[in-house]
Amino acid sequence: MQIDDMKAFLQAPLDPALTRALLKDDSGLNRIVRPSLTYWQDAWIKLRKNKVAMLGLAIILLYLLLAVFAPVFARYDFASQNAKAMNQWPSEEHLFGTDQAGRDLWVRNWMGARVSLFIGIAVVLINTAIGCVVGGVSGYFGGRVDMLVMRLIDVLYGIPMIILAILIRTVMDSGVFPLVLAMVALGWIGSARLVRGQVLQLKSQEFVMAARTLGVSDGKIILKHMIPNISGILITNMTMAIPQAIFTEAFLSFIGIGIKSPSCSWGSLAQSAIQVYRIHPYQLLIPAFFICTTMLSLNMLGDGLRDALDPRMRGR
Amino acid sequence: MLRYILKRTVIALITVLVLITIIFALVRMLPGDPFISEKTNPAIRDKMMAYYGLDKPLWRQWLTYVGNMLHGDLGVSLKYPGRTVNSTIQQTFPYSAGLGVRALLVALSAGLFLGTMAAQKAGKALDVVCVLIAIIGISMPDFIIGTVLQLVFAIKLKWLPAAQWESWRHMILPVVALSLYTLALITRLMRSSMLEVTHQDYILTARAKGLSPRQVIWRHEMRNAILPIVTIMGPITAAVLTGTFVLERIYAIPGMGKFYVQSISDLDYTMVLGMTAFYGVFLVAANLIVDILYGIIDPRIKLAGARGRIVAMDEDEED
Repeated sequence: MQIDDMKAFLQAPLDPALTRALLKDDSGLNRIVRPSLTYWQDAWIKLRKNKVAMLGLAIILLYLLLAVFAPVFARYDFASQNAKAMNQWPSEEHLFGTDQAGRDLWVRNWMGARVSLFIGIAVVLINTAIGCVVGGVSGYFGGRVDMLVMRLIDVLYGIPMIILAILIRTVMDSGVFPLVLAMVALGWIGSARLVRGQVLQLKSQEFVMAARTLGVSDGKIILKHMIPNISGILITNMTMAIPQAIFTEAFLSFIGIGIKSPSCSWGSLAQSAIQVYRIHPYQLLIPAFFICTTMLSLNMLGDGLRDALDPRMRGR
Repeated sequence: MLRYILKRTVIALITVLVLITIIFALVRMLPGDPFISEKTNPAIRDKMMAYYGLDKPLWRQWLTYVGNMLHGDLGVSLKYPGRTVNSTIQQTFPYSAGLGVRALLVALSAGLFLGTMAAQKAGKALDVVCVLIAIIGISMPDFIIGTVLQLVFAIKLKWLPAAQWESWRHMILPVVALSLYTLALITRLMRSSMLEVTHQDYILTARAKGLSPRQVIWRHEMRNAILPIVTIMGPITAAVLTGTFVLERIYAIPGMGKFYVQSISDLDYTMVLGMTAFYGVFLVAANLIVDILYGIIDPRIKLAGARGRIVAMDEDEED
């Protein structure tokens, strides 16, 4: 009964004359004084005012640019060794010094940045994509599918991520791909739980009911109505997850099962510096500085994004 | 309540079984077989395979493997013949536990204190300092804190010993390095949780009744604000545990983490897999204890149990 009423209301043609009259009447009380802002415009204005978050964003953009362009314009190759210039302190010749094999650390640092940032971003993107599908389907359809998925997640949630990553890496070859695989194997669970919870909340809202009444397909409702509505929370969550992924990669490289020489990441640079860091501390401190500032910037940006995008924080 | 505990226990047991199965599958994926290096003729090789049960169908081997694990037999080292995984764990785990428990205690007490203080003085200088500590702590991986602390306080300033695990002076640096991340996490969570609780009506009631501020904080605010901290104790235990891997290596502490990392680089597969099984079961058990504890602390779960329904964690996640 109620649904039929609603269907009739939604499908009834609007009276064109009335609409025109309403739109034209921009004098007096119906006049909109301030231009209306979309969700994203509003969020951007809020974020821009947040100096800490903008600093984080600027640092991340700077690192990304340097990671892309610094190795291209460098005088040295990241892998070529030089026995005459081993363990040199930072100088004009070598901005970040050289390592035990005489390789230029400025180039290696930014090559490492490429790998670390790539792995961080790739892992989080894949995890979020899987999480959206699994969590979206599970939350939206509910019932038996949801029950099965939740029990599966209950079981997998107990397995510690780093332990499984170590296991997978122990029996697989080295390289970027197995590393990403090891971190994705359980990493999707967090975003699947997040998406499922959000979808469950949205499912009972009026606009979803309206869409369903109008006969929109399930897939389209998830894609066009659910995902855009949770994209704010998802983006915040991704920003917070990237430093976690960068940390995991650095940790795995540090215990010796991450990136193998001559390729490098920030974690593997720190690992190879550990043998000589009492004499040549700069070899450890430089990659350590970049790991910490990257994680810090992303956390600062994530905090700012949460304040700007979370609807509950709006207007406060 | 009983049903809730039972449900959690069953899930934990299945998790352990899945983990052991993954480990079993990975053992099978390793290239070659154990007797590939010995120049034996096929007949002897087959006999040896039969002796160790490697000729049986896969599901029988899996049963034997799970059986051994459940008996607590984790296997023998490939690299050092005669050294069993069990004896290694027995010798080294007490050191790791000593380090981990100390770090956990430091992180919990300091984190709860800082988080509560920050919430009380929200927006003031102390709050800013606490938030700063929290965000810096979360952004510094423990292996970096560990090496930098060692470099500054042990090697350059020579205030504290650089390595080993003998007196309390040896323990300061590794415990601080291990606890900082967890401390930051707890401070952050406790602060936001306290701020949320402060605006609840029952706090207003407590104040209106004329309770002293201290009583309100201890009896009402902290007791309610501490619930989210209990829920993340599982992941926190995992973080502390993995932190011991690198810190024991940096500070040359003869704990289990150091041996674990060593056997990874030695490609001592049985050692890695056996120790992984141990860590896995340990963490699943820790998670289970936390879940049950949470059920006891949170009255909503007790009530749900009394009504014979299990609402528990699943519905908590939805709000």
